[in-house]
Amino acid sequence: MKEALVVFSAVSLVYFAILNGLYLFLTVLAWKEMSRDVRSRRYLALDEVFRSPLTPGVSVVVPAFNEETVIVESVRSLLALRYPRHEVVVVNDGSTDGTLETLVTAFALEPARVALRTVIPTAQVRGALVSRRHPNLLVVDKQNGGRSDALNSGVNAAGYPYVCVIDADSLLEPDALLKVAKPILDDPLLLAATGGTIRIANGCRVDHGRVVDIRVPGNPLAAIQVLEYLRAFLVGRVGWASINSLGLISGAFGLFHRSLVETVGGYWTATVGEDFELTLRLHEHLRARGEPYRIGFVSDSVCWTEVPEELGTLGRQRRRWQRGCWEAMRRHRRMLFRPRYGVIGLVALPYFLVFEFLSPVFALGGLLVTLLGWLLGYLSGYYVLVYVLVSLGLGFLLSTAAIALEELNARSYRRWRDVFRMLFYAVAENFGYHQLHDCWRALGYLDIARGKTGWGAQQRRGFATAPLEVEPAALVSAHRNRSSLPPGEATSPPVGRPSQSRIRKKERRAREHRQGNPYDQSRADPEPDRTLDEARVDPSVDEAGASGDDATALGVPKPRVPKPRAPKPRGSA
Amino acid sequence: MLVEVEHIGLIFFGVSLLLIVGMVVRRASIVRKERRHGQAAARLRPQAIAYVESDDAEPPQLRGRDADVFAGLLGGYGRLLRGPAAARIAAYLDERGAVDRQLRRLESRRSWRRAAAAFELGDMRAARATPQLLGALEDRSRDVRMAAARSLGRVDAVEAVGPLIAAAIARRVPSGVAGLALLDIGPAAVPRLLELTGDPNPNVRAGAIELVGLLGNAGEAAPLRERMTDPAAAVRAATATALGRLGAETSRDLLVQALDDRLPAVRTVAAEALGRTGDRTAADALLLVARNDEFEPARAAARSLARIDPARVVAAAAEPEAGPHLVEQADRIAL
Amino acid sequence: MSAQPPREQPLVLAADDDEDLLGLVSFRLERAGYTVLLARDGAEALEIALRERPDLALLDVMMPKLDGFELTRRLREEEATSRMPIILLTARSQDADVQQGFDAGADDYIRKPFSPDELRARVQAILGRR
Repeated sequence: MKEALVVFSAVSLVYFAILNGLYLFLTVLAWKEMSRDVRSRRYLALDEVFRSPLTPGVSVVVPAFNEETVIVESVRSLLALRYPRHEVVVVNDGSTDGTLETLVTAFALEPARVALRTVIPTAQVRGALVSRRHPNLLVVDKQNGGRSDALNSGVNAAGYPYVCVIDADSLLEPDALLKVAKPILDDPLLLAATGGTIRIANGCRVDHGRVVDIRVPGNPLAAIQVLEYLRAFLVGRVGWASINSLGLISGAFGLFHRSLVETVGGYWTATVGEDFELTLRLHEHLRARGEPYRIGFVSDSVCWTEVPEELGTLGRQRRRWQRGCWEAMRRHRRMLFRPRYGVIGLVALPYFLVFEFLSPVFALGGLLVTLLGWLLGYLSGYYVLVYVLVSLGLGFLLSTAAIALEELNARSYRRWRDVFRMLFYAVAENFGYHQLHDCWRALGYLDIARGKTGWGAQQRRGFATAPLEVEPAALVSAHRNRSSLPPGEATSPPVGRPSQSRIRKKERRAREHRQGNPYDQSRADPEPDRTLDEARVDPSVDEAGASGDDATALGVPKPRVPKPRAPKPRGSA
Repeated sequence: MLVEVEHIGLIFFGVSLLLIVGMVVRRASIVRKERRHGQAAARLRPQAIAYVESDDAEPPQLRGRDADVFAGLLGGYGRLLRGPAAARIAAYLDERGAVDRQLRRLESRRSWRRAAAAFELGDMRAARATPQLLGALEDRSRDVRMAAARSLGRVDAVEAVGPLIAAAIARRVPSGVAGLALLDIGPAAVPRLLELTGDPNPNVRAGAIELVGLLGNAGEAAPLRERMTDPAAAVRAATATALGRLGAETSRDLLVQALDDRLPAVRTVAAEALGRTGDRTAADALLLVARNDEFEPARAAARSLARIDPARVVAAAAEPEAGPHLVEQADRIAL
Repeated sequence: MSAQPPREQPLVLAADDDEDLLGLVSFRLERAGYTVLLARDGAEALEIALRERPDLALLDVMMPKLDGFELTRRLREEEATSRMPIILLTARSQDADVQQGFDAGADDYIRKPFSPDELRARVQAILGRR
């Protein structure tokens, strides 16, 4: 018994040593890359992209389910994006609230029998609406089928060679599309997709669809998530991208070649981790094609979103992400440890499996074991104290580095107060939040074991939520259960399910969660060769090549700080 | 061993502290600089505007930081303007030695400095930097090459047409960047581009034709016509687009012929081009395509028809075999 | 417009979120003998336009709160401003944008980068006719 405890404790230790070593490494990489990035912004020449008649068009696809409070503002801000040629395709995924009605009123929409392709099978499309005043707005009305299904429908309806996928409740900065598109436009044969940064809008002042005052939110959960997202994006993605190993495009804000998405068959409707899964599938496909390719990340291209501020909502979200991570990885388990799949198979997926998906085992397990060991006298209190110190120190360093990177990147948080609050939470999050987070993810294991699918029956919970906090002219209300980015997770949380707390009346409506289409059962094992590439001569579309030595690893690390192995140390060792 | 581990913990905290102190210091210094700059800018702005807007203003005598701020203000205005005002700004910057400074930076060992220098030379409309910019088109860093290409467009360097095209073909510079630079240089690029429409490489032919379409006028349509029968599909597509843009009446027959091309992409582009020429006599051919062809060509044909003959579209949509695209256009017309 | 007595100096509304541009334009037009009102976003521009009834509006398209196209439409819908000359001055330069501008009801469309002289000339041309 003693040996077992000690051994497990030691194994956990080694586990976290490796993990944190990786994070440190990523942080250093991210630093270098960010400095380079900041300098290169001087000669980015975005104005040229904007004014050039040669710039290809982008279709912005917005899946919307029960978004009546935010959809109009969101669409307005998307229509106002600074990009020479783009359209906004809103897919109303069978909303049961006033989403469609508010859109019709706000944009003078009228039904039209728009001819839509059906390259990717989806749930039935009921119709389409267009506006004479806004010729680049298209609303597709369809039966509910889930977010993946709605996205597929949007991709079908898209008219331009590129699709930008975005959540209905997120706000893009005016230049964000231009910035996220630039790498692809500069090298369309190499770049398969790019992703932008997700930032947290909680606590920020929003005016007419633009974030005008950036603050760290007052709510502690939201503030901690600010740190999580900073680490995930400014350290994680920048770091991985710098060694050409970025594997994940967040579903909340990503840009793809439309033809590529169609070729691989669109999003998988039977998962809650559809963006992670799509990215993995893109990798498989592109590697199989054997040509070099890259997936890029633009730290300067910002999408604002709101994150949950309540434990319940946040917990459910993280559980879901854990499940989504599993579903996506399981579907692509053939890539694990196969040299054929390059860095993705040899480094990224194993990394995600071991250091992301399994980390609650070592975190919680290690904590309990060490606690037990100390209580039983097998481990000295001194040992425990030292590890607390080391883990705290490391965690603090990683968070501080992330904050420093943000300073370098954009200095968004103007007030000193905000910076110090973040530093405070960088310490505070180790006492309680990390443990709670691991518990949620452990519950995610349970969900997986029980074979839970879809979004679950969230409406069963009764929420005694506070009344909607509506900021004047603000886009979003206070509480969201949806987040568009997995801070430390490989999975991007799917969007499309209404946030629970946001609108109490949603809970009154019994929502049914449809599964995906039956068709997707046949796509249980994607084979790149099965899908047909259209013969393409479109001069404006250059489909990205595939595979090559370019390393692509999925990497969105969450700095895993070894949990303090004991509660407050009681006196000396 | 545990002793070392404990030190490591303290080291982490120590480094964090250093980072924090560094952040604080950096921020404070930036804020101070910004404030000073803002004050100077507010003071000098009226003079800057006066200099830009009057035809005979004398540049103010400034020294040191004021001079830099003034130059920065002028640079900002320069980006907004065209014509004599912009030329005046460029001349001032050159006199101040700003151009020389950037030319020196163009020799820097750091690629980002060279790229920034190449970029700024374009902002300054420094035409005399053209030889160096042409040299920078061959730089080993892609960023530098792209900045140089863009700047060559902004200084209207006619002699850069050939090198720009060569750089685009060799993929040393993205085709979009080179293309825009050529568009900026303008019609002067057309003769060379026309030569390239006969290049053995089909991508070169296609790219050149596309640019002629954007730059040329109706007179250039004639030499392009023979490209409609080019073996490469991309070339035929580019030719159709270009003919549509150039708008020569005589192109109509060729475009109608192209509606029968074996590749849907070419048919699509031909249909779009016919929409631009506005020629009603093409309506019958477009109608056929809109009814019967594959998705993309049919949609393009329906759209074009809606532009040139809406009444026809509405009538045709009422018929049973109209197909989804004509129906869509009829609905849109009725909006 | 016809209900108002002609002003001594014609009133021009310039709306753009770019401060530099507003500075240049107002200087140039003021020197040419106009009074210039400035707005930094579409909402402010709309408010000023309805309140002051300028003789001409010079609007950027890419402005926060209300973009130039939408603003033009609104102005055309309001009785007070429905015949006010509107010039769009914008970096959005694609053909489709120009089309949209005129469809929304603008009288003229100037692309950025622009020549201040040309701008003044066009303003004078339009105001001279009235």
